[in-house]
Amino acid sequence: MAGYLTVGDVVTQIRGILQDDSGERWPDAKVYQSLNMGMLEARRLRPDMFRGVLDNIPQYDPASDGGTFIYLEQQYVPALVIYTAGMLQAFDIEGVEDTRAAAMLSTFTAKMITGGA
Amino acid sequence: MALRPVPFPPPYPSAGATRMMENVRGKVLGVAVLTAQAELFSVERDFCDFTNVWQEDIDVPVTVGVTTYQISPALLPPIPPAVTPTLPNGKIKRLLNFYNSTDPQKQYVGNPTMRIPGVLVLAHPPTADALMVATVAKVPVDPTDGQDMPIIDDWIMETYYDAFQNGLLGRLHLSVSKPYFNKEAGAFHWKLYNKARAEARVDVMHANLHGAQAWRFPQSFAATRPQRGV
Repeated sequence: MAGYLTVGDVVTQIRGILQDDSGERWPDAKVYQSLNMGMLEARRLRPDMFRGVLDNIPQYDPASDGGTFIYLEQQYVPALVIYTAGMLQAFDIEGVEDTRAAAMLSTFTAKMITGGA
Repeated sequence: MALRPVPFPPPYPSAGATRMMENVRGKVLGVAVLTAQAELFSVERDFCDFTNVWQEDIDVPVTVGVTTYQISPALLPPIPPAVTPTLPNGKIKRLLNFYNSTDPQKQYVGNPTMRIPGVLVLAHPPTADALMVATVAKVPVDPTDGQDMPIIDDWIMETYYDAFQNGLLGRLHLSVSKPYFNKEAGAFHWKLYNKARAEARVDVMHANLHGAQAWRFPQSFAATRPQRGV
């Protein structure tokens, strides 16, 4: 690999945080949905990283995009992983993960707009 | 959708530009490569526009009675495996000289104008066919090499490397609402860039003594400033 991460790599990391490696709790469709939302959030916070695709932010499909290079600079991929994991936990209606989810979403924003946070 | 598997493949951009990009991305925390590339393009364009440092002699075969000629810079050599040149090597900004190709003194003749860059208009219809030469100043074109890096002659990048780097750092640090916004650092680097740009302009004017007259009048000499007591 030439140093770029694929969407599949990112999803694997997200599942690691969620401790759902097999996808029993969160199916791929849900993970990709949150990942795609994270891409849109990244575009809102850092439009400078999406020159040329500002109105056409890449959205990924679990059926076909596992091997696609993710359209995000490597230094910000961890932030996207945290956002996606946080968003998935925020979807839970049980409420016990709300604090953790909120912390992750805040961390994502901080990482995106302050660089070193 | 695949993203650049290799960020900066040879032969374009130059090794200097690649080195600068690596330096700047290491200094400016959180900067996106696309942003740095766009700002470098702006710096190079501004620098070339101000200094006329990037020049090219273009042959213009003039014909009896014809006063208007469309001229353009030569294309860059093709990137293998392509065999046909397609990349523009800068675009014309202004006309600097126009002379007969047989004149060793390269004296300006014909009073041509170039209100629209690339459209050369002679003041009077030629009375004989001749091979003339137009010396033009160029600026980088919008990147078209698929890597979004501006293309400029290697020697310019190497000679004015520090100027470009200071300009790039200045522009990045002065980007409002970005994590790397830093007014003081931006002003510092921009000041250094402006100084280097002014000295480069003098370098170009004294091209036959390159580096020997790299000075400029201090700002207190500027005629447009109000004088004390006036």
